[in-house]
Amino acid sequence: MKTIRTFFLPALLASVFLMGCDADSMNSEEEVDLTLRMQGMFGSQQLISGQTYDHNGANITVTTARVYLSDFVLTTADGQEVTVSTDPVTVPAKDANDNDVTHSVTDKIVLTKHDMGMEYYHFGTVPEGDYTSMSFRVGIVGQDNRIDASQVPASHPLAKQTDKNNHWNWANGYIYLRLDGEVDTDGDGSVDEVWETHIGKENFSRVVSIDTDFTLDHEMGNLLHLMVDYKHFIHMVDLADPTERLSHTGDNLPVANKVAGMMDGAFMIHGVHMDEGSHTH
Amino acid sequence: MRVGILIAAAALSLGLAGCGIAGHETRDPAILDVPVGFEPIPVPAHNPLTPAKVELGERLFFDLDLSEDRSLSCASCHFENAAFADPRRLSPGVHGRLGIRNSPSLVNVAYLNLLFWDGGALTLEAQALGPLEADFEMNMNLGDLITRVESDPSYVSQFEEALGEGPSIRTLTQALASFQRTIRSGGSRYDRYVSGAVDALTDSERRGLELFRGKANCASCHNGFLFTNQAFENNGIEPAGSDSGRARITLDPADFLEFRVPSLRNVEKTAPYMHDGRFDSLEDVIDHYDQGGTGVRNQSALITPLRLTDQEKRDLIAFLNSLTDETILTGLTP
Repeated sequence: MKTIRTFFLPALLASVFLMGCDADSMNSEEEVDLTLRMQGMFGSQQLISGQTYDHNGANITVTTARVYLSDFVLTTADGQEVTVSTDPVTVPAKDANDNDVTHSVTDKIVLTKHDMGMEYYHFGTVPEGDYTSMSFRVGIVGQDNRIDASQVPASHPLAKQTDKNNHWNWANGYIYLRLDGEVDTDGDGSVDEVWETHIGKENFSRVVSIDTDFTLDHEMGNLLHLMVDYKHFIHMVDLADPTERLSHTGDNLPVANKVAGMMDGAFMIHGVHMDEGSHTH
Repeated sequence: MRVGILIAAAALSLGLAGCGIAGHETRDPAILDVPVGFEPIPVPAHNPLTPAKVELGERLFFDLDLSEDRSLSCASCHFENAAFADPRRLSPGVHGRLGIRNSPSLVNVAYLNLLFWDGGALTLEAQALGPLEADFEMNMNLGDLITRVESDPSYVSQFEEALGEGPSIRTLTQALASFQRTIRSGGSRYDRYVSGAVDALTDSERRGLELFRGKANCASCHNGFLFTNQAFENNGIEPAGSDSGRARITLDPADFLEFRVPSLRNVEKTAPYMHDGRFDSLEDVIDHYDQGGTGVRNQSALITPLRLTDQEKRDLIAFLNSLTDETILTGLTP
């Protein structure tokens, strides 16, 4: 730890002149190759596609559980903000005045697919050391949300997903949170109606900040374990109520507001572990 | 760079015919030809217009395999003899499912800045995925769509030839957009009239033109070479169902019941009218505007009672019929 602190003192002084640093731009031996593990939960249970859960007294299943996260920032113990970026991808877009432009997406973006069991996301290198918080945005905003998703290379998380789409064709923009499933509406124990909660549009994006001390160290741990509780998102939504069962944001603003209001509490840092490296995303 | 070349080529093509450019990006100048008075075709730099892509896009456009049950193609709701619109109020999708809006004409669609009645699609490439995926239209899962196209070796080779790579969401939408950019029309009697052939319009049609620009106030929104200002307006028709128009996209109450101002080119052939096809005839449309709309919430201030005489209504419709380009209705294929 002494070595790390010795390194960080001059780094801290240098950072006085910098607004922040890009994780990928760091070039030091004191770096760690960070992987984010995103574990999908439904309350206290592991989220498993098709499994039946209790939700406010009704049996429901979850068949799609996906969320877009962007604008990741890790804050070091000495207050330095570490941002995460990736290789840029340049695509056609419209600006705020609907003029044709090209736009380069550089931000590290994560699309969880917990209905498919995806959990691991490689973040590149960040400085080793003690951290006090992590923040990110639920959703895709600004120019990143005004790109032509049909032209994004298939390997990029903002590409049109060919299994289940997380982008609205009819209302250009990303679906920040997509939850689908079925709900038991008559209380007979069997699910009988489809429910869909699709939240997008910038009004419903939220920045989540988790204040938790953790240490990233190439010997002690480089796997940051983040849990996302999908039940929390819909805690205020009565899926058995036909007026709340379907929401695609613009067609059901009350539900969209309820879900957006719960985004902040749906995430928790479980801890830091050693990444065994048996997964790649 | 490519855009610059294309724009220059388009400009040249107005006066020259038969000049080709060699190489992979070979273009048939004809696909860039525009009618007199039209602006050059906007072609995005990432998707230059080539004959091979247009040909592939045309094949895809008419292919029934692009729908879930192989019963519908794009052309099933965009009829060539209806100026690429649909004469039905609502177009039946797979399994007979109906949407809530009338299929708009695709003529001159290359010039539209935003697509769909509410502007929900940013580009022609992105727009293609709307009907392909919508469960009340073609209802295709995108993965299944690509798998289906890849299963046809002739498609794979055509994609390779046209785009240098195989079928994907990106290449498929580029091909479809390329074909649609060639659906252009500007050969109506009105066009001949404004080019100097004063006898191209009858007396009644000329009176209709004056009304269109004057008393009837149509040209406040239906202007320019496309006969649309590309704005979104609430034209004073009562809402049907839950369709809130442009507000569905922007979530802005000020956009409630606003829909795209459509082009009036070939309007004679694109009945029924309005975003939901509620009016069967141009007479119905003129009557609606003549009475000043219905006074629905957020109605455009431009919609006011016109007090047109019966003769004026006939003249106005006569003029609108002069916007028909007969050549677009048959054998458009470039």
